[in-house]
Amino acid sequence: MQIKIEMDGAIVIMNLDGKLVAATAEEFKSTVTRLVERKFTKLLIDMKPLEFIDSSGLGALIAANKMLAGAGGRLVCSGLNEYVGKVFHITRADQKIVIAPSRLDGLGLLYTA
Amino acid sequence: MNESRLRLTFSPDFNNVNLVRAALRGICDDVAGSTEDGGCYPLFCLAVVEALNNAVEHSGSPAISLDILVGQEELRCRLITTGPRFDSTAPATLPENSSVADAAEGGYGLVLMQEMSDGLEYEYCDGQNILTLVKRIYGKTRKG
Repeated sequence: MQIKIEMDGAIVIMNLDGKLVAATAEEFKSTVTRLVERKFTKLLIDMKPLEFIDSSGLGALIAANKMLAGAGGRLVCSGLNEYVGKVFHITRADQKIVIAPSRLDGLGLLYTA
Repeated sequence: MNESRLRLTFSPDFNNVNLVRAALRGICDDVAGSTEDGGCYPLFCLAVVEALNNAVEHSGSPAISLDILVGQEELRCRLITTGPRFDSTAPATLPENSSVADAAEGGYGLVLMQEMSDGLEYEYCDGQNILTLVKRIYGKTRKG
């Protein structure tokens, strides 16, 4: 999985390209940990290029959400495709993680947070 | 019975699960292309991946085999591991609903596995755990 980081003011945009699965979940969590340690507390995860997610990947997103919340920050996921949306819905992760339909909507939520 | 069969055997490593997923996805795309409804094959691939992840993490088996069987009416994935009895077909429930701070980071895999497949079968035979995940194929329009 490729993780590409961009900045929009104080907001970190993390583009996930590939598969967030058991083999890549730790890399993702480590990246979020480093961001929180460096005091970045507004994170938009753009999942539009994400091809596949499993329960380990979902757990990593939940862990990231907890890290940001614990640091007084906020995490938003955007661009979920139909498949990823269904995974979020079945596991009720959509009740714990803020989801925006698009990157622009996600940025809007974080600007006002 | 007209059924095609492929067996993949690999060591228990999450990177290998990725390769198996890619192979299964290719087979599912081929099956989906020959059906009228297209099917929910990506979600079935997730069910199989969850079963494989479970086997890698918990079974203790030195090798894992996955038989992919494509029939006229069903796609079956038969996961075989060795070791103590390991039945993951008992109805699973999601972790209890909680606050963001207490949200469970695990416990979702079995629910996904059960929700995303049309059927699950388990047997323990000669020291082997055999878990079969079933996806029904609707409206097959051509052979192969």
